[in-house]
Amino acid sequence: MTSQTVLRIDDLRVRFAGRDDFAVRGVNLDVSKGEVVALVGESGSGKSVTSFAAMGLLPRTATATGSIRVGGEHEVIGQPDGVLDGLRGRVVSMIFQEPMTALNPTMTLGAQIAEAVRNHTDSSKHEALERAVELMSLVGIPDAQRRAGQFPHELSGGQRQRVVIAIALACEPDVIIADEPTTALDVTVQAEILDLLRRLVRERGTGLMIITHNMGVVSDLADRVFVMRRGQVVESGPAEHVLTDPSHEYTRTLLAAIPALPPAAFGGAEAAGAPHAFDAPKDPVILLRGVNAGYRVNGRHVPAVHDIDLAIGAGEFVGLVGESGSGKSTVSRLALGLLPASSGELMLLGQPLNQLKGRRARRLLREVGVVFQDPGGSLDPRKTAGESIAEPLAIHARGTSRAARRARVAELLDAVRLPRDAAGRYPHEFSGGQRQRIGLARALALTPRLLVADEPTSALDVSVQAEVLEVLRSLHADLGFGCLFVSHDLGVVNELTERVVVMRRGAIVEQGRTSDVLRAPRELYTQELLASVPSPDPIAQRARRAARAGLLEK
Amino acid sequence: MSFMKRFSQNRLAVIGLAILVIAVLFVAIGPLVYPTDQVRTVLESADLRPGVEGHPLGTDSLGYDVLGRLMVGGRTSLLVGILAGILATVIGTLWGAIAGYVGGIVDAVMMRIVDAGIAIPAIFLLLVLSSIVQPSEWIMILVIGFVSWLVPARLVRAESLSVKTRDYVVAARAMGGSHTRIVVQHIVPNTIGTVVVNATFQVADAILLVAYVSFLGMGLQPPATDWGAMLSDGLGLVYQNAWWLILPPGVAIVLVVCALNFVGDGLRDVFDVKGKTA
Repeated sequence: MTSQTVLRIDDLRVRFAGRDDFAVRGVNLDVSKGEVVALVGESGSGKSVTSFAAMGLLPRTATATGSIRVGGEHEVIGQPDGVLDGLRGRVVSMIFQEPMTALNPTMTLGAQIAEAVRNHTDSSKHEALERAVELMSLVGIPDAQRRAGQFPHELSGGQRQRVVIAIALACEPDVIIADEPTTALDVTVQAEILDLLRRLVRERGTGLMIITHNMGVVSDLADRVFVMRRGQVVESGPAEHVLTDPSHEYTRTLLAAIPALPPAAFGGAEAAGAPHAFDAPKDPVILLRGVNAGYRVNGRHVPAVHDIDLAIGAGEFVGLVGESGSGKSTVSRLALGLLPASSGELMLLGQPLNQLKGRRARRLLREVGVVFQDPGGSLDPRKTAGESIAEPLAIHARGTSRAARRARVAELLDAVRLPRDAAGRYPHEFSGGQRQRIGLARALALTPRLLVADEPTSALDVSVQAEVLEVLRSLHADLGFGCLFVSHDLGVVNELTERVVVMRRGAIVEQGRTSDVLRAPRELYTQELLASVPSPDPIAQRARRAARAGLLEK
Repeated sequence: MSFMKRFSQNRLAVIGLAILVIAVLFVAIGPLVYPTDQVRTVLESADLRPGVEGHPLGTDSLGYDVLGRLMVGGRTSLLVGILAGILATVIGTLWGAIAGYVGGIVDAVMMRIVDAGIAIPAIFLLLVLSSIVQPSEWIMILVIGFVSWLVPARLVRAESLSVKTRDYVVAARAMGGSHTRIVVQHIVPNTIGTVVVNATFQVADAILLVAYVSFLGMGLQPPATDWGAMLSDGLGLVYQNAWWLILPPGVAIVLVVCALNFVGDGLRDVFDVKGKTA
């Protein structure tokens, strides 16, 4: 091994107590100084276990064999905590996925960074705090002196992640392990964090191992990539090579499952022209005109969306995109009758949903189906799949006989491509993708005329996402319901929808035919959003990065 | 089936369950196998030590056979305990589920009632009541049930608050499901883990409460008896070394209460695991 290698993993095997199979089965991997290595794979592939093993952070129930050397000569496996404490932070450090939980909410940011500094140096409290402020400006936090005295909740998610990165940098480690560092962030923020990581690696020569499931992140940042599946590395090599010309079957299917992004050929910073024209749907299933709505928080009314003009025609597939806090979920709640509009007009199938109350409003809702994001939470754990699917029937078609109900459930299971015996099983016996398909079957039980799908595939792996979307697409073709598809994933929206609505800060910034808006966005924000999504194709990604840089200069 | 498997991994819980089964058989079938007269006093055979022929656990000062009395008294203790525990659990569950689901001012009022109720000791209410009316088994069940639903109400409300934000509840509302339907079909079944675990503790508490009241002489009147009353009767003779009058009912109470707590712990483990994997 050369002195340039900062992390070397040899034949790592990890097994958890009570399990027969290994979670990690013989992984070999190395990271050099100043290099970014991506470890990609779907959930359960063992990528996170590998990263935790490298930090010596495996739970006690796990046994690891093989060798992990950090900083050239320090062995991690089998070392007592005392030795590991000397390595963590100083030689190898970690960036976590969720910045809110990685930071202590009761400590100021400066104190948390200073703590990391003082772990390995004998600097005084004052010196450590000075160093903390220095680190904060290094990771691009403006007004670092003042920010150092603030608490985590006072910062945005992106700023918090910068603080986590500052902590990881505190003692100038040889190698940083970043476990899904941008997964919890919006795309525009993700792009900023990726820029920061790229700059830090280039300037300081730190080695970076980034664990991710997002091929776009890989193509944006990584020099080399290791693809993991079921505890093994199935393919590795230079990122450009693996992403454009994968040799392993699994890598190929993984890449093929990623929804294609629209090309970044909108000419970068050219924002101009009249808004795209589109045909307003005649006889819409849902119509929002000048709708304002908000939530009551501690007795105060907090506005969430304003002046929403949106209509969905019968059988029309409309995408609603935006970042967190843009109000897209509020719009879906409005359409579901879960939130009253405080002003404006909200018509569902020509009836004013806002003015209907009690039983009449509930009866109208039989024409609306809903699919939620979290596959774990959208099904009642104490009901069988069959009972869940039949719930709309139980509510709206009380007269149906038991046999008729069972027949309908079987029919719906066929439609979402699940075996019929699934009806008798409980949610925890299904995978995430299967649960989402059960949710879809439930939503369509009464053949509604409007389906509201709120990020239905965001929590799923790409290959599973492709399956669920395929089911959704074919059902839409068969049943012809209008669909409001809420998503933050522009690739999915691009592949699936006819029309797209872009939201930001509670208002619609742009809407039109998907092909128009995503290929020639008129609004600067839409352009920035598009340019921020990393493409899994390294060459296309370089173009996007340039386009984004051009936009930011404006 | 995996339910039984997980439960059986907790050895104490299995022992607890076994003790409960034995206790129920003891009080239900025991008197049929070992019939004794627990109504008429037989003074000539009073104060016999254990082991005297025909009286394995001896007799008390009125000549009642202690083993037989333990069976008959246990009937009252277990019947009142179990039914009162169930009654308290049912009331508490509905109260808490509704308060948590509806929220707002309804929740505030309902929970302040609970707070006020908790401030009044149940034993005090029972003693006051016993001094007014002569309590029968059914009155004790009702009174204990109506004073001890407060704790389950609080627990279920807390669960209900978290369950109502789950997507399946939101989905049910978006489907046009009525509030009643949501509470009955989704909220209550999903608090069942907490409810069942708590119910075992409720039954244990109720058994103790019956014992307290009877011990203070305010419970059932002779010749009816229960384990608490047996303890109380035996206490007067404790200085004459009549240990066989106190030990059997005392041990019975301790065993049953401990067994219920063990079973509750075992059930909690079972439901916890389910919560993690589901």
